[in-house]
Amino acid sequence: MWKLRSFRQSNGNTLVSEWFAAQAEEVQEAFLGRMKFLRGLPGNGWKRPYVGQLRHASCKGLFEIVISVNGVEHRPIGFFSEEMEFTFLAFATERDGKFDPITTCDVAQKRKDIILNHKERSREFTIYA
Amino acid sequence: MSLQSTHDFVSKLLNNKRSRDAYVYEHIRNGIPFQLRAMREQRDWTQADLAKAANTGRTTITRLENPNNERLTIKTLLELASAFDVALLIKFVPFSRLLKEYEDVSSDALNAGSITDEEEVKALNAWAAERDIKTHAANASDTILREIKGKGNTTPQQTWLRFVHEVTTSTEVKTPTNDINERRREPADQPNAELVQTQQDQLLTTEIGGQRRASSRG
Repeated sequence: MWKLRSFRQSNGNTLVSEWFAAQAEEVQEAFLGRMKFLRGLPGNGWKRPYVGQLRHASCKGLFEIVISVNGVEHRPIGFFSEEMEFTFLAFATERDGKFDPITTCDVAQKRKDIILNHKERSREFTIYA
Repeated sequence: MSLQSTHDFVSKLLNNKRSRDAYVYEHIRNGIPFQLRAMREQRDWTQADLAKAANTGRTTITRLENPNNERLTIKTLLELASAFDVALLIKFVPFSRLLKEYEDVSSDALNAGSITDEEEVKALNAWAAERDIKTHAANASDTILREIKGKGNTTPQQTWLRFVHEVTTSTEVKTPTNDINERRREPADQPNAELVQTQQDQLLTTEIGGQRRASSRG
């Protein structure tokens, strides 16, 4: 079973919980539903069409979860922090091949660096039912 | 679903219709593609292999395995079920049933064995044997109840012995012809056959005696 982690804001809240609380029910269930099924995949199972590696130079080492909800392309962004462990660093939507916000990869890279230097700046989370 | 607790999830399910509608939708749109892929990979099939078995194109399989694709028809699902040689269950269920159905969504749990798999053949034969025994027991019970109502003076012991006799000796459980576990019944497998026969003889003697006594009284 895969482990899921999230970047922790300086106020102690996880990024995932803050983003999640701001979403409509359909987006919430889409995210949790996809993660529930992804967690059950074998170690080599996180690949297209569920997960994609980002190719842009500023996004090196980052991966996106591909989720469509009512015509909107949602892109939770993160990296493989350990074996069978994925850590979320940012949330964006994608349109015409560009992230919104446009600084998504830059912000994600900074958060990744923080976590790599301070493990306590990420926290494991689970999905209930 | 919830990030907080199962209790929080159930509360949301009970109180928010949009959440529960979305929950059902997400389990369908993720469940089918993830299961397709799991079943294909468990069989070491490529997408081309599955496409050939389902008499369709590889790009169709690619599309069907993508949970972001929303175009699924019952006809397509039936064709895929036939390709895997598995059954397809589409029915309305209460939420409590859906939750249990999707408690474990690991690749192993999502895999469904073909009807030709040894485990599946065993399961089918075990099911048939259990159903036949239950049916024979119910029939025997009905017969005896009718007899008791007719006579009105049968003791509990006589009723029980009659029931055991009906179930163990008067019916034969038939198994399918392709039963891989088929074997001859050894005498030891017949539970208390001799004892039951002896007890049955005693029961019949008692019944006959009772009738004689009754007729002599009359």
